Amino acid sequence: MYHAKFQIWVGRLQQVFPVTHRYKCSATKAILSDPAIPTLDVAYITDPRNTHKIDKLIQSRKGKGDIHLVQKLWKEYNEETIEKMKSKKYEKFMLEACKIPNQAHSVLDSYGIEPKIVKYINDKRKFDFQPRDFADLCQKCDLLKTEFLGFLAGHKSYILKDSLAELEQALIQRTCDELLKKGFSLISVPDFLPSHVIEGCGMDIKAERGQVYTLDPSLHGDLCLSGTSEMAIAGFLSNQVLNVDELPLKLAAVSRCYRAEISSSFDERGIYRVHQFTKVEMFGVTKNDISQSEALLQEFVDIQSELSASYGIHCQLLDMPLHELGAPAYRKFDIEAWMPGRNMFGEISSSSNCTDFQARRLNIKYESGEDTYFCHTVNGTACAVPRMLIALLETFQNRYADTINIPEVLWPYMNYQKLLTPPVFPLKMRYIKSW
Amino acid sequence: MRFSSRIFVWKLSSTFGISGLSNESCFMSTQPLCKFKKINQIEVYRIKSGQLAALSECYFSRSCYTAAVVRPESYLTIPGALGRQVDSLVKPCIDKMQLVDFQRLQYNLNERGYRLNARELLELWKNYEDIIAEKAKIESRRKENSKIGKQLNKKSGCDLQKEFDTVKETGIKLRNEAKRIQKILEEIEVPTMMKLLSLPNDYCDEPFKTLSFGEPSGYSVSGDENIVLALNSPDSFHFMTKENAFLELKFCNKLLQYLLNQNCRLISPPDFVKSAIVEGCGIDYSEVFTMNEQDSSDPFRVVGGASLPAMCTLVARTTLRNETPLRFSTLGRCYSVSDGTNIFESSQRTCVQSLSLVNNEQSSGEVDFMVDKLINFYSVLPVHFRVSKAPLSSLKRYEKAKISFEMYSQSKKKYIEFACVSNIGEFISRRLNVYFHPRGEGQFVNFVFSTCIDFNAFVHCWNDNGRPSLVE
Repeated sequence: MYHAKFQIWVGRLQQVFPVTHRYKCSATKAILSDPAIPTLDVAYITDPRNTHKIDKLIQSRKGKGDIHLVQKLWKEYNEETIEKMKSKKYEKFMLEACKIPNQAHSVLDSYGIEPKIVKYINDKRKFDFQPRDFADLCQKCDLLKTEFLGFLAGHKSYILKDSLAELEQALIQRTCDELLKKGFSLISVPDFLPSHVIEGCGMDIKAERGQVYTLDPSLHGDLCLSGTSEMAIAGFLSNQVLNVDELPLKLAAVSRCYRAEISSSFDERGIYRVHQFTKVEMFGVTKNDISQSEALLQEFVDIQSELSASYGIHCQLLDMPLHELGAPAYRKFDIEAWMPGRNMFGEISSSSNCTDFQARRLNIKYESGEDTYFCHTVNGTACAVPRMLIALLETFQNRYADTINIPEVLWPYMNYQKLLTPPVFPLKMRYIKSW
Repeated sequence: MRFSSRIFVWKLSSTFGISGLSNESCFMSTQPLCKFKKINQIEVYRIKSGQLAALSECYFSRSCYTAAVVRPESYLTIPGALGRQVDSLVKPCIDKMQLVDFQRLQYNLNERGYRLNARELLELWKNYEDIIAEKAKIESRRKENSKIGKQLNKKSGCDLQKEFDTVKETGIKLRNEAKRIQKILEEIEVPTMMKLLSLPNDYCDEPFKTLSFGEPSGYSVSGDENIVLALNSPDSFHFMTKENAFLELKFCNKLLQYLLNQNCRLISPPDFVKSAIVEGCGIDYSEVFTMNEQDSSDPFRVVGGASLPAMCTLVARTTLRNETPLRFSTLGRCYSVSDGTNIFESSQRTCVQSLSLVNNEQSSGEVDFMVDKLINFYSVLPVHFRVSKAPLSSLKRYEKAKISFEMYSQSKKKYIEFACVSNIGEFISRRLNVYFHPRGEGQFVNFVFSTCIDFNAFVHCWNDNGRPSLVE
């Protein structure tokens, strides 16, 4: 009898993957309702000795921020004597100061505009036939619906079907299992966040409105759709004081990510760049010590490399140059997978050390003895589903393109299915084009 | 005036009749527009050059163009003249049989709390149908008259002049009659269709015996452990940590694998849908999230991939040739507007959903099948739950009947639904045009929709009942 054999392995898995991290949580107060008050390193950014260095950093990052304006506003604030005016001047100063990007690792000064290739992962597969691209493969195997979906669900929408949808679930499950083995704790996060949380993570909602979806404010107040669970996790930790014994804290979340950015580039066709996708994210918190956060960053990069290597896809690990870093990042590593059907490398994961940039804006601290300090935060993609699917299908396609090999590590998660094939009973649905 | 409404640019003749139509476009108004008059539910505004952003200058000459701003009350119906010129996303088919037995309909409306009079609705519909029939008659007579005219044309002779005049006079009379009828039709079309589309599904009389499984725990708890309220105004969201997050990942996946072994096909639908899809499912816009799109008359609705509207995007406006039952499952997020602070009232829920496409005869058997499968899954767990038929008053608009799976919440002192199987019948397929091949009346696909788990409700009850060990 099926139900007699049915087992749920939650209990056993809890023994294998013990939940080790204990952090405070409250069930009564809405923790994202109150914005955190940023506490910037004012001494550093207003010190005239640092002006040139910060200015050069802003120019190299091609980012926003004007250090001269910041220092001018600081001077005006200090010279102001009327209390009311002083607080207004302080607000103005903080607004501009928050735009100043994070410092960067000194090694990046030598990189120029090209990333440094740290290493290659796996060998590139040699094909004795012209490899097809992802869209072609899915059409042959009837695994993806994009046609006629735009009218119903918008541009760039897609439906994964049958074994491709199962592969998505397999990737998510395996990634989470591997992260749990490495001491991560799972957290389930909201996909909708108030704008102050997103801005606290270093994203300027107003300037980058093209990237962030917002909900109708007259109906839903100030709510945005989260582009990555990094923001929600950082929001969860905001205004919290962690115990030093809890650090380094490693959290992982599976979430639906929403990004409004569009691209008409041929290379980014299909599901390469979409508005909604599932991602497994890693988020880490360390003490206020650059060596610790760098070590955690390296650990994240190692995990990403291991995961990519285990699938058998050819990748390159890149140490990103200054202009590729977002405002919060001190250092960033990307992994790009070879996509034979597109004949190009495509980014499948990214890891950043944000040092205390986010912690200062979201008030994430830890206590050690009687003192509290700002944490360092690190984040990284463990698995971004659409691009991983592209890399897997295009790498492991077979000559006649109606079967695709599944990497061995995913077999247990696919009911030991070894091939992606067209469904036994294809869907015979015809869209009504005209009435 | 909402500048975000759909704007059609019409060229007006000197008598202010509508004589031409530009492409359907959405424009942002750069200045407040001057209201002119209302024509066929369309609010008409007078505009001049430069008042509408992105409107090509070629539309403007010395004449004054007027923008017709449409405020769609329904995305399923397009009013009057526009309906003929614009290709609508879906064309709903009213279930006339529901109106025949108006006592049954009135009972249905009363039980569900709808303040509508069935008899009045029936009369409204009959009136509408009578006008359609009259219009058809007039059109038929016009064709006949036109035929006669053509025949007369072929003949020759001066004694035919009288007959020509008679045909011409008849033609003018019939044309005026047709215009009159058309005007009446356009005036009543939208309110009639709107009223009928607001009707709920019929209901199912089949009895169901309440079943109970497992022993009540007798556990006494004080709330949800490791569940953190993220936001609560105006909508509520939560974080889940530790074992709750772990269980969400593993338990839902286990249920999904179980369903796949029951011949369900896994899909991963989109999270955004058009308004017509939401409305086609009989869901109010107030229940879903709306995107902030100032320059669009039809903003996207954010429903989550694991929701009924999202799953309907696979089948809306299609004809189906597969043998049925055809079952689809999905695992993911379901979003709905809610300001309750409890985890089971959260605006974001993780769900495993299943949509079965069946024919009329298979409908009730499919409900039994899904109920059996869910009972098989949950009955091996050390939890107490009951399975019962939900009362008519608790059904959603699109539901004919629902079998509800509930666990007892110690802290809330009530049963909370964590799974259900809903018989929807043809309700949605009539609105979203889902047919069996060949397409036609009587060929609508029946839906059975199952929330195999609403994890938020399940985890609340699991926490509440002492977190029984879900082990081998």
